[in-house]
Amino acid sequence: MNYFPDEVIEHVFDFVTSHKDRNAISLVCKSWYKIERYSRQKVFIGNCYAINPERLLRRFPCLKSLTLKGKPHFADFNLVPHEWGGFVLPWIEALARSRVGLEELRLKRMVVTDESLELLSRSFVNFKSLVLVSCEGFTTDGLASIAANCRHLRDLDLQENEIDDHRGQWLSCFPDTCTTLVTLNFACLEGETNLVALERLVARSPNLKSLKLNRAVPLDALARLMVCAPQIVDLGVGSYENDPDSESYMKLKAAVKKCTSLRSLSGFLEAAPHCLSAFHPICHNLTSLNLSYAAEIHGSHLIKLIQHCKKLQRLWILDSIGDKGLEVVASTCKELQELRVFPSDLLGGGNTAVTEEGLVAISAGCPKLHSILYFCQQMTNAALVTVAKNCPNFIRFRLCILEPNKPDHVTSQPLDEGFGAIVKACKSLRRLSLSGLLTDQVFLYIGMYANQLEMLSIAFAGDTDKGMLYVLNGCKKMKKLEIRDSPFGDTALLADVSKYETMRSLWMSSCEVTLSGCKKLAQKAPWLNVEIINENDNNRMEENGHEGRQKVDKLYLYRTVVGTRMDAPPFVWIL
Amino acid sequence: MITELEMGKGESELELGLGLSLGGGTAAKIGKPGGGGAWGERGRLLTAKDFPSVGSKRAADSASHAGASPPRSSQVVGWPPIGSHRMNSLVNNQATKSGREEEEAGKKKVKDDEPKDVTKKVNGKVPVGFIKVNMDGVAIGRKVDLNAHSSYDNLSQTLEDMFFRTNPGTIGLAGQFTKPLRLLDGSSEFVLTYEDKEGDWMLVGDVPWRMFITSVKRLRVMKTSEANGLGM
Repeated sequence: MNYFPDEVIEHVFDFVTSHKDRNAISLVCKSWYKIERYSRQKVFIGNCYAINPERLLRRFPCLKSLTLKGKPHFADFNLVPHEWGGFVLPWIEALARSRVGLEELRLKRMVVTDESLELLSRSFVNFKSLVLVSCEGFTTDGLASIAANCRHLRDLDLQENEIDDHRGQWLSCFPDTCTTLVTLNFACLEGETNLVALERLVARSPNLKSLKLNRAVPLDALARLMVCAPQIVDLGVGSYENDPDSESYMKLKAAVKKCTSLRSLSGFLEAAPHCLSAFHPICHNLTSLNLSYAAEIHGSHLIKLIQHCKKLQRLWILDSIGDKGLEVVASTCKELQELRVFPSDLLGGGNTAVTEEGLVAISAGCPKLHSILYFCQQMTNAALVTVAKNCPNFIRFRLCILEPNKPDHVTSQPLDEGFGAIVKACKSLRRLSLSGLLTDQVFLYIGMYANQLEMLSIAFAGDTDKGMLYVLNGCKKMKKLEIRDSPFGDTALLADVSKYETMRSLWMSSCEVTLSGCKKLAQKAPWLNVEIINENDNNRMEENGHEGRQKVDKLYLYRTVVGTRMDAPPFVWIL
Repeated sequence: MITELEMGKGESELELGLGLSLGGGTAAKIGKPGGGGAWGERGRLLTAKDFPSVGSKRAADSASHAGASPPRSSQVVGWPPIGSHRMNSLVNNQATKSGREEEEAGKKKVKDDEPKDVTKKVNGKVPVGFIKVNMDGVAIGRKVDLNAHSSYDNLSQTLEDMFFRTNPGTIGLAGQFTKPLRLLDGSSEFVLTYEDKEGDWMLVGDVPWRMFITSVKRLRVMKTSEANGLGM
């Protein structure tokens, strides 16, 4: 390719958009590396501590879109202490100083402050898109800055964040001249919403395609909003408490009929069980349905709705739908690709909870299924073997049996054979979450067959270090390994230190690794940050006489090119 | 291996409660009930029992420490693996549902002569979970898992750890209160209050623990000077 001028090569590269491919391109030769880095606009950083903003900007000075992930996945379940890290402010400060033309920022599990949002809103003239997922540390004041200062804002997408709602008027901070919104998602806000400001905003946003409301938006407001935005493609209903005889409900029904572009429905954060029928007219167009927050809606109403949704590709639902409901899904939704079934009752098995039968029915009825997250009370090896036979195309398979260590409820055997069948059949499996009673055997299977596996979540499983070793030795593409409450120790941890350079991160909590094991690892692998998180006893590990044999409560290690981070709190000890 | 579960079996409720504090769960965190013990080191949050004039019913609370129930999946920290946002929503929904059931049960009760414990109406299941805690002077609120606690003492301890722990690395959380509060010895600058389902702000500690956790919506650590009309 040496006889093509750079501009031509660059033009060719423009067609290459996936991160993996662009990374590959940059490794071909020096000339391509150079061309690629100047033309790269989108960068994805899976671990914000693997690199720092200065080096990022040195390599990609024309950056327009940045995705950053902070805390490890188990932070979602409160296993990572509050002040562990993942602060976005230094990134925004560095980006602002460099005057890069940032247009898009996507953050996941990071600590975002009002100060960072304010700085963000003022530093980038062309800023268009802010997506925050599972972040925390900010308030509606920060949102007000974004609304007020980002003149060309296209997307404000807040997913499952912890936002302190100061009951301010952030919605009214969008100037009258702001007409560019395409996505507005504030479903996770807990406080009141200025309905007048919201309606005005929606009315002046002709490009609005995705609107997700919080629980403070009542039914009559919903009706008015849908009238203003018949072009809507993705709708998140806030509150859905309604009286079927009311005028509001009639208006809603009429408005829904006009939303012929509606493809995705979610929300129902507070919903009365009746009157989902208002949405029946558009169900035949729906490709995505998320009713996983609608705890009030009974299984029978869910089933009635789903019977109309023949084109559904993605379904997130509560287990109140029951096995019978899943059978209806299996016979109706032949296009289904992704299913998530969440528990609706954490206090003890409800009668309507789902079992292995629902899972088998889905696998039999939905040939295109490739991603599943399934919470259930019980499972059998036989069911999993059947599922594997029916669906060899799984990319993501996440099974959570609610009771830790629960065996096959028919044979009382561990579930090794069942999961073994899954990994053997599903040659494209990239993500796997295990549960139930499991011995080292399941890990032997995983190491042998799960060649494409990138992420593995283990809890209360295994017998000896061999289990972990099978995985580390066998899964060549492993990126993220997270383990809790399993008997893996130093032997497994230290067996192949160079393996961790090929992975993004390893999490081990309540396992058998000791302090001296971790210290040895840190010595052998200076390219790793080995973090010991010990929230309860700040310095107990150092003072104790036999510190070496002290078990480490939480270990988090990750590869990095920028060494030890400077922002770790005192209870995080970086070896 | 499974330290949380093992500890839970046959131990008192307080140790069960351990496994569930935020991000925590190791043996060393055991705080002894009652008695100055772990509290002696710092000042503490005042609750209704510090105000004898309020006529606290806390005797009922200590009696409610029955024998341990076996650990359920919801009592292991971080299990089941459901995102905290979703978990809170789920739990709030259950609380609202049981609140409604209580109301209806309560309406029936009016005709009844015998006073019955309201909480028994919901089959002994008290669905609670993470609720918000704000403290005067601290910008960002926190969340505490009520399921993880079995008494006011427990809860108070957790909140003190959360807001008063002398941790120089703590950002924004009561950072200015780095001096140990032992100097305040007995009296405290702060008082613990809660908002109940009807939206009223009450002093924590007035009602039996089980009743408290079914009616609490959120908590606030309030400056004592501002806690007027709450039984002071």
